[in-house]
Amino acid sequence: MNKEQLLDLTERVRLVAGVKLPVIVGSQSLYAVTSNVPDSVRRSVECDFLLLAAGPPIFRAVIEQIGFASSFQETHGYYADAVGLATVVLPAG
Amino acid sequence: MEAGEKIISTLDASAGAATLGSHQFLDDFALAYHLAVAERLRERPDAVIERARQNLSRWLEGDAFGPGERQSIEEWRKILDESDIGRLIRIITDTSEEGRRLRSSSPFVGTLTPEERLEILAACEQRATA
Repeated sequence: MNKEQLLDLTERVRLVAGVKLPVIVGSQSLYAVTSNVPDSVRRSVECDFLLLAAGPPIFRAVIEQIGFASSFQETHGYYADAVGLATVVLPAG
Repeated sequence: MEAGEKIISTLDASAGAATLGSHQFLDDFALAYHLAVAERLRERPDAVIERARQNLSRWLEGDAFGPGERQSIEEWRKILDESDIGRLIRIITDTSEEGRRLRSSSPFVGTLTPEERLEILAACEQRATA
């Protein structure tokens, strides 16, 4: 996934999930500090979005509309994964 | 097609059922989806593979995907070119980390109808809350 695709996906998550600022977690978050990301980031067609305080309806909506095997992915070739805080491992500090 | 119930019954219950919003749930959903795709590959291999090839070609159209982003697409194109049906099914239903990685960029989106996809999603949710 390139940066333009990531920004597009972020905007769609914002709309679908109804959150002002979706938090990008996982390897795609490297785009926040550099455009020169490793191949492993570019070749990935998915991005994890941390949705704080989201419940099942929001997670379900993201999967249904812009998630894995959605019509969106079929058209564009990339998709969003929405995860909660319990599934994210963050570095200390 | 009662895809959801049939597929979920084949998932490894001993692994535990993850909840929505977890990576495990998303992985389970992708595996369940591909178990259903495997059934379609047995029933109508030519049509399923042709649709997968069309997906790969469409994603390569234009300049949206640069050389880096094309790697997963080229990887799948090679797999489709070199694999018989049996090997394809083994790849898409492989429960290893490598299988999970390949499923995440699968070209088999659209093999199932949107209704069938949602049926599988609902079944995964039901399994998670049972």
